[in-house]
Amino acid sequence: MKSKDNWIESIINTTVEINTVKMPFDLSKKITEKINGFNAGVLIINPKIKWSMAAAIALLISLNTIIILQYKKSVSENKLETSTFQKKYFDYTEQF
Amino acid sequence: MEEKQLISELKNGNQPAFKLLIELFGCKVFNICLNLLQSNEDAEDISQEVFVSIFQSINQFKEESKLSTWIYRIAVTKSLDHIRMKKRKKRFAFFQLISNNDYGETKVDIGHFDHPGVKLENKERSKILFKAIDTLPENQKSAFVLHKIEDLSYREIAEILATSLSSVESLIFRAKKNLRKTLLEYYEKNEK
Repeated sequence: MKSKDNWIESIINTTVEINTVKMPFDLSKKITEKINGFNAGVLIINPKIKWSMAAAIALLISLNTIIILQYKKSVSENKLETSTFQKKYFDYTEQF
Repeated sequence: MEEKQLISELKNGNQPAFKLLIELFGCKVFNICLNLLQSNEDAEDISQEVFVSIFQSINQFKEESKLSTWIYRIAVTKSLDHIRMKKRKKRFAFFQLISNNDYGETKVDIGHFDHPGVKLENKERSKILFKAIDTLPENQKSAFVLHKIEDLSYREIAEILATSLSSVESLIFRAKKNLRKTLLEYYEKNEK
């Protein structure tokens, strides 16, 4: 029991033997660059967000294209129907 | 440079002031993130986010607390947010796995965090310790890490976590209790 408690205490006390880690040099450089970028008005976007934004924009453009094509198709179908209807109407009225 | 002057320079968007801020607090922020996130890559990413967040919101800093308190609070909050986000991703991946009946390789978190600040002779013990710390609830984890590893006082921790002194004492007490329980289970499991 005592050895168990001693072991547990020694593990928890490991925390006091952890040294402060130096910040990686290139990290402070990256942060400075990001902040300079903000100052210069450059929009810094997280690369993960960049890809999702690109995907969302591509999807919107595709949807837009589909909607426009469908609209054009329905307009041309309507025109065809109208001209077919007109023809039938004139044929009908000609009888009289 | 005095703190008031530094804050004033930061609010004016003074670039050398930001460089000085990174020099003064960069190490501490990185270590807080490293100890909470238990990953070098995540600690680097979140440290960057912390300083970007400071840059973006410095004008909203009301100077009701010390600058260091405010900065460490941002570091703790962002680290905990990141942990939550990772857990959500894991849950989602798990559900996808079930729905796809795909029993391919999945990434398993085995808690083998090799802390760069630990001496060679303590490496194994620190891995066990960090694995146990990772099982603690968020608030207990934060309080324990800030006190035992970052060596902050109870008062400082109370200000960072925006809670009372007695709450911090209670959190650390419960954290130690839970750690002992987890370590005891590990000891008994590995003794067999």
